[in-house]
Amino acid sequence: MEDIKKLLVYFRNAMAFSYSWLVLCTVIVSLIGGNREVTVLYLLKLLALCAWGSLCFVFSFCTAVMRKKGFIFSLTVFFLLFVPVEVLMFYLMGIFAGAGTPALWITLGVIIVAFYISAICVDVFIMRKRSQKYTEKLMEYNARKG
Amino acid sequence: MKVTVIKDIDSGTAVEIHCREVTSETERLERYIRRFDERLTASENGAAYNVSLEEILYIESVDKKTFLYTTGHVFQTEKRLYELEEILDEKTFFRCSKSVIVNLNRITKLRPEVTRNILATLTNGEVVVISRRYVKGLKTLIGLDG
Repeated sequence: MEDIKKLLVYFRNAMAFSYSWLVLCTVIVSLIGGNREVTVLYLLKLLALCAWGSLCFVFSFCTAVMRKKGFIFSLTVFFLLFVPVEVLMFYLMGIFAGAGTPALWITLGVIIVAFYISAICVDVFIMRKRSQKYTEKLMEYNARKG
Repeated sequence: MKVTVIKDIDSGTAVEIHCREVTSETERLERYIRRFDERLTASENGAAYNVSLEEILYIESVDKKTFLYTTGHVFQTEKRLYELEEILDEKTFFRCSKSVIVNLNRITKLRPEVTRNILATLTNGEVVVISRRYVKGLKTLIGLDG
Protein backbone atom coordinates (compact mmCIF):
# COMPACT_ATOMS: atom_id res chain seq x y z
CA MET A 1 0.00 0.00 0.00
CA GLU A 2 2.79 2.35 0.99
CA ASP A 3 4.53 1.59 -2.30
CA ILE A 4 1.42 2.49 -4.30
CA LYS A 5 1.18 5.79 -2.42
CA LYS A 6 4.82 6.49 -3.19
CA LEU A 7 4.30 5.71 -6.88
CA LEU A 8 1.29 8.02 -7.00
CA VAL A 9 3.39 10.80 -5.47
CA TYR A 10 6.10 10.23 -8.11
CA PHE A 11 3.42 10.28 -10.82
CA ARG A 12 1.96 13.55 -9.52
CA ASN A 13 5.41 15.16 -9.33
CA ALA A 14 6.44 13.99 -12.80
CA MET A 15 3.14 15.17 -14.24
CA ALA A 16 3.33 18.60 -12.58
CA PHE A 17 6.96 19.07 -13.65
CA SER A 18 6.53 18.00 -17.27
CA TYR A 19 3.19 19.72 -17.85
CA SER A 20 4.22 23.08 -16.41
CA TRP A 21 7.44 23.07 -18.44
CA LEU A 22 5.69 22.07 -21.67
CA VAL A 23 2.96 24.71 -21.21
CA LEU A 24 5.70 27.31 -20.67
CA CYS A 25 7.55 26.11 -23.79
CA THR A 26 4.29 26.20 -25.78
CA VAL A 27 3.63 29.80 -24.72
CA ILE A 28 7.21 30.84 -25.60
CA VAL A 29 7.10 29.10 -29.00
CA SER A 30 3.69 30.66 -29.73
CA LEU A 31 4.97 34.13 -28.88
CA ILE A 32 8.14 33.70 -30.94
CA GLY A 33 6.17 32.25 -33.86
CA GLY A 34 3.71 35.14 -33.80
CA ASN A 35 0.79 32.78 -33.19
CA ARG A 36 -0.80 34.33 -30.09
CA GLU A 37 -3.36 31.65 -29.28
CA VAL A 38 -3.19 28.25 -27.60
CA THR A 39 -6.36 26.17 -27.85
CA VAL A 40 -7.89 24.19 -24.98
CA LEU A 41 -7.83 21.08 -27.18
CA TYR A 42 -4.08 21.52 -27.66
CA LEU A 43 -3.57 21.83 -23.88
CA LEU A 44 -5.67 18.71 -23.30
CA LYS A 45 -3.58 16.74 -25.80
CA LEU A 46 -0.46 18.02 -24.09
CA LEU A 47 -1.89 16.90 -20.74
CA ALA A 48 -2.58 13.43 -22.15
CA LEU A 49 1.01 13.22 -23.47
CA CYS A 50 2.41 14.29 -20.07
CA ALA A 51 0.18 11.80 -18.25
CA TRP A 52 1.38 8.94 -20.47
CA GLY A 53 5.01 10.08 -20.18
CA SER A 54 4.77 10.31 -16.40
CA LEU A 55 3.14 6.89 -16.20
CA CYS A 56 5.89 5.37 -18.38
CA PHE A 57 8.56 7.13 -16.31
CA VAL A 58 7.18 5.92 -12.97
CA PHE A 59 6.79 2.37 -14.27
CA SER A 60 10.24 2.26 -15.87
CA PHE A 61 12.33 3.95 -13.20
CA CYS A 62 10.49 3.88 -9.89
CA THR A 63 8.91 0.44 -9.49
CA ALA A 64 10.82 -2.10 -7.39
CA VAL A 65 10.97 -4.67 -10.19
CA MET A 66 12.37 -2.26 -12.77
CA ARG A 67 14.91 -0.70 -10.37
CA LYS A 68 16.53 -4.11 -10.01
CA LYS A 69 16.93 -4.47 -13.79
CA GLY A 70 19.34 -1.57 -14.17
CA PHE A 71 19.29 1.84 -15.79
CA ILE A 72 19.73 0.81 -19.42
CA PHE A 73 16.92 -1.73 -19.22
CA SER A 74 14.63 0.87 -17.62
CA LEU A 75 15.58 3.45 -20.25
CA THR A 76 14.88 0.99 -23.06
CA VAL A 77 11.46 0.12 -21.64
CA PHE A 78 10.73 3.81 -21.18
CA PHE A 79 11.61 4.62 -24.78
CA LEU A 80 9.67 1.65 -26.14
CA LEU A 81 6.57 2.69 -24.23
CA PHE A 82 6.83 6.42 -24.67
CA VAL A 83 8.32 7.16 -28.09
CA PRO A 84 5.56 5.61 -30.26
CA VAL A 85 2.89 7.52 -28.31
CA GLU A 86 5.02 10.67 -28.40
CA VAL A 87 5.31 10.44 -32.21
CA LEU A 88 1.57 9.85 -32.54
CA MET A 89 0.73 12.75 -30.24
CA PHE A 90 3.17 15.09 -31.99
CA TYR A 91 1.43 14.17 -35.24
CA LEU A 92 -2.06 14.72 -33.78
CA MET A 93 -1.03 17.97 -32.11
CA GLY A 94 0.38 19.30 -35.35
CA ILE A 95 3.60 20.31 -33.59
CA PHE A 96 5.55 19.91 -36.80
CA ALA A 97 2.99 21.91 -38.82
CA GLY A 98 0.54 19.15 -39.77
CA ALA A 99 2.33 16.03 -40.91
CA GLY A 100 5.70 17.75 -40.55
CA THR A 101 8.68 17.50 -42.85
CA PRO A 102 11.08 14.52 -42.97
CA ALA A 103 13.83 16.83 -41.65
CA LEU A 104 11.85 17.60 -38.48
CA TRP A 105 11.01 13.95 -37.82
CA ILE A 106 14.64 12.96 -38.46
CA THR A 107 15.77 15.65 -35.98
CA LEU A 108 13.45 14.16 -33.35
CA GLY A 109 14.76 10.66 -34.12
CA VAL A 110 18.39 11.79 -33.92
CA ILE A 111 17.81 13.46 -30.51
CA ILE A 112 16.27 10.25 -29.11
CA VAL A 113 18.93 7.93 -30.59
CA ALA A 114 21.82 10.22 -29.54
CA PHE A 115 20.52 10.29 -25.97
CA TYR A 116 20.12 6.51 -25.94
CA ILE A 117 23.59 5.87 -27.39
CA SER A 118 25.28 8.27 -24.97
CA ALA A 119 23.53 6.50 -22.05
CA ILE A 120 24.82 3.13 -23.34
CA CYS A 121 28.36 4.56 -23.75
CA VAL A 122 28.37 5.83 -20.16
CA ASP A 123 27.15 2.43 -19.02
CA VAL A 124 29.72 0.45 -21.01
CA PHE A 125 32.81 2.63 -20.62
CA ILE A 126 32.40 4.14 -17.15
CA MET A 127 29.98 2.06 -15.08
CA ARG A 128 31.40 -1.37 -16.02
CA LYS A 129 34.89 -0.28 -15.01
CA ARG A 130 33.53 1.05 -11.72
CA SER A 131 31.61 -2.16 -11.22
CA GLN A 132 34.85 -4.17 -11.40
CA LYS A 133 36.57 -1.83 -8.95
CA TYR A 134 33.68 -1.91 -6.46
CA THR A 135 33.41 -5.71 -6.63
CA GLU A 136 37.16 -6.16 -6.10
CA LYS A 137 37.09 -3.83 -3.09
CA LEU A 138 34.16 -5.72 -1.58
CA MET A 139 35.90 -9.06 -2.04
CA GLU A 140 39.06 -7.66 -0.42
CA TYR A 141 36.96 -6.34 2.45
CA ASN A 142 35.20 -9.71 2.94
CA ALA A 143 38.55 -11.54 2.91
CA ARG A 144 40.08 -9.03 5.34
CA LYS A 145 37.34 -9.33 7.95
CA GLY A 146 37.24 -13.11 7.60
CA MET B 1 48.47 -21.22 13.65
CA LYS B 2 48.26 -24.41 15.67
CA VAL B 3 44.83 -26.14 15.74
CA THR B 4 44.14 -28.87 18.30
CA VAL B 5 40.88 -30.75 18.95
CA ILE B 6 40.55 -32.18 22.46
CA LYS B 7 37.64 -34.43 23.49
CA ASP B 8 37.34 -33.64 27.19
CA ILE B 9 33.82 -32.27 27.89
CA ASP B 10 30.52 -34.11 28.15
CA SER B 11 28.31 -31.90 25.97
CA GLY B 12 28.57 -29.02 23.56
CA THR B 13 31.72 -27.52 22.12
CA ALA B 14 34.05 -24.98 23.74
CA VAL B 15 36.67 -22.97 21.87
CA GLU B 16 39.60 -21.18 23.52
CA ILE B 17 42.08 -19.02 21.67
CA HIS B 18 45.58 -18.94 23.13
CA CYS B 19 47.87 -16.15 21.95
CA ARG B 20 50.81 -14.01 23.05
CA GLU B 21 48.92 -10.78 22.36
CA VAL B 22 45.56 -9.85 20.86
CA THR B 23 46.11 -8.73 17.28
CA SER B 24 43.60 -7.84 14.56
CA GLU B 25 43.98 -11.38 13.26
CA THR B 26 43.06 -12.81 16.66
CA GLU B 27 40.02 -10.57 16.80
CA ARG B 28 39.05 -11.68 13.30
CA LEU B 29 39.33 -15.32 14.36
CA GLU B 30 37.26 -14.65 17.48
CA ARG B 31 34.59 -12.90 15.42
CA TYR B 32 34.52 -15.78 12.98
CA ILE B 33 34.12 -18.39 15.73
CA ARG B 34 31.45 -16.39 17.54
CA ARG B 35 29.53 -15.94 14.29
CA PHE B 36 29.88 -19.63 13.40
CA ASP B 37 26.88 -20.72 15.44
CA GLU B 38 24.86 -17.53 15.64
CA ARG B 39 21.27 -18.10 14.69
CA LEU B 40 17.99 -16.26 14.44
CA THR B 41 14.64 -17.74 15.34
CA ALA B 42 12.20 -17.48 12.45
CA SER B 43 9.23 -19.34 11.02
CA GLU B 44 8.17 -20.71 7.66
CA ASN B 45 4.69 -22.15 7.01
CA GLY B 46 3.97 -22.20 10.74
CA ALA B 47 7.08 -24.18 11.70
CA ALA B 48 9.84 -22.55 13.77
CA TYR B 49 13.48 -22.72 12.65
CA ASN B 50 16.85 -21.51 13.87
CA VAL B 51 18.34 -19.84 10.82
CA SER B 52 22.13 -19.58 10.66
CA LEU B 53 23.28 -16.02 9.99
CA GLU B 54 25.67 -17.25 7.32
CA GLU B 55 22.73 -18.63 5.33
CA ILE B 56 20.88 -15.31 5.23
CA LEU B 57 21.15 -13.47 1.91
CA TYR B 58 19.18 -10.42 2.93
CA ILE B 59 16.50 -9.26 5.35
CA GLU B 60 13.52 -7.27 4.17
CA SER B 61 10.73 -5.45 5.92
CA VAL B 62 7.42 -5.50 4.05
CA ASP B 63 4.22 -4.04 5.54
CA LYS B 64 5.67 -4.10 9.07
CA LYS B 65 6.64 -7.78 8.74
CA THR B 66 10.28 -8.87 8.59
CA PHE B 67 11.45 -11.62 6.25
CA LEU B 68 14.77 -13.46 6.11
CA TYR B 69 15.74 -14.65 2.64
CA THR B 70 18.02 -17.67 2.25
CA THR B 71 18.66 -19.78 -0.84
CA GLY B 72 15.27 -21.36 -1.54
CA HIS B 73 13.53 -20.25 1.67
CA VAL B 74 11.76 -17.19 3.02
CA PHE B 75 11.41 -17.07 6.81
CA GLN B 76 9.43 -14.60 8.85
CA THR B 77 10.79 -13.26 12.13
CA GLU B 78 9.11 -11.41 14.97
CA LYS B 79 11.98 -8.94 15.24
CA ARG B 80 11.79 -5.55 13.56
CA LEU B 81 14.42 -4.45 11.08
CA TYR B 82 15.98 -1.89 13.43
CA GLU B 83 16.24 -4.52 16.20
CA LEU B 84 18.05 -6.87 13.84
CA GLU B 85 20.32 -4.05 12.73
CA GLU B 86 21.40 -3.63 16.37
CA ILE B 87 21.95 -7.36 16.96
CA LEU B 88 23.77 -8.24 13.75
CA ASP B 89 27.45 -7.67 13.02
CA GLU B 90 27.59 -4.33 11.21
CA LYS B 91 30.68 -5.45 9.34
CA THR B 92 28.73 -8.23 7.66
CA PHE B 93 25.12 -7.06 7.61
CA PHE B 94 24.75 -3.72 5.89
CA ARG B 95 21.60 -1.57 5.85
CA CYS B 96 21.30 -0.90 2.12
CA SER B 97 17.90 0.81 1.96
CA LYS B 98 15.03 1.84 4.21
CA SER B 99 13.62 -1.68 4.20
CA VAL B 100 16.56 -4.01 3.45
CA ILE B 101 19.67 -5.31 5.26
CA VAL B 102 22.04 -7.28 3.04
CA ASN B 103 24.68 -9.88 3.96
CA LEU B 104 27.91 -8.55 2.42
CA ASN B 105 29.42 -12.06 2.40
CA ARG B 106 26.70 -13.15 -0.01
CA ILE B 107 27.27 -10.43 -2.61
CA THR B 108 29.05 -11.62 -5.75
CA LYS B 109 28.92 -8.42 -7.79
CA LEU B 110 28.40 -4.70 -7.26
CA ARG B 111 27.22 -2.58 -10.15
CA PRO B 112 26.99 1.20 -9.74
CA GLU B 113 24.29 2.88 -11.78
CA VAL B 114 23.95 6.29 -13.44
CA THR B 115 21.18 6.95 -10.92
CA ARG B 116 23.83 6.65 -8.14
CA ASN B 117 22.22 3.50 -6.75
CA ILE B 118 24.26 0.29 -6.67
CA LEU B 119 22.87 -3.05 -7.79
CA ALA B 120 24.21 -5.91 -5.69
CA THR B 121 23.96 -9.40 -7.18
CA LEU B 122 23.74 -12.15 -4.55
CA THR B 123 25.01 -15.72 -4.65
CA ASN B 124 21.57 -17.00 -5.72
CA GLY B 125 21.40 -14.50 -8.61
CA GLU B 126 18.91 -12.19 -6.93
CA VAL B 127 19.55 -8.46 -7.15
CA VAL B 128 19.27 -6.06 -4.21
CA VAL B 129 19.30 -2.29 -4.67
CA ILE B 130 21.69 -0.31 -2.47
CA SER B 131 19.96 3.06 -2.51
CA ARG B 132 22.03 6.22 -3.05
CA ARG B 133 21.43 7.34 0.55
CA TYR B 134 23.38 4.32 1.83
CA VAL B 135 26.02 4.17 -0.91
CA LYS B 136 28.42 6.50 0.93
CA GLY B 137 28.27 4.24 4.00
CA LEU B 138 29.10 1.18 1.92
CA LYS B 139 32.00 2.94 0.19
CA THR B 140 33.44 3.97 3.55
CA LEU B 141 33.00 0.45 4.93
CA ILE B 142 34.79 -1.32 2.08
CA GLY B 143 37.47 1.34 1.74
CA LEU B 144 36.39 3.03 -1.47
CA ASP B 145 36.09 6.51 -0.01
CA GLY B 146 38.76 8.98 -1.06
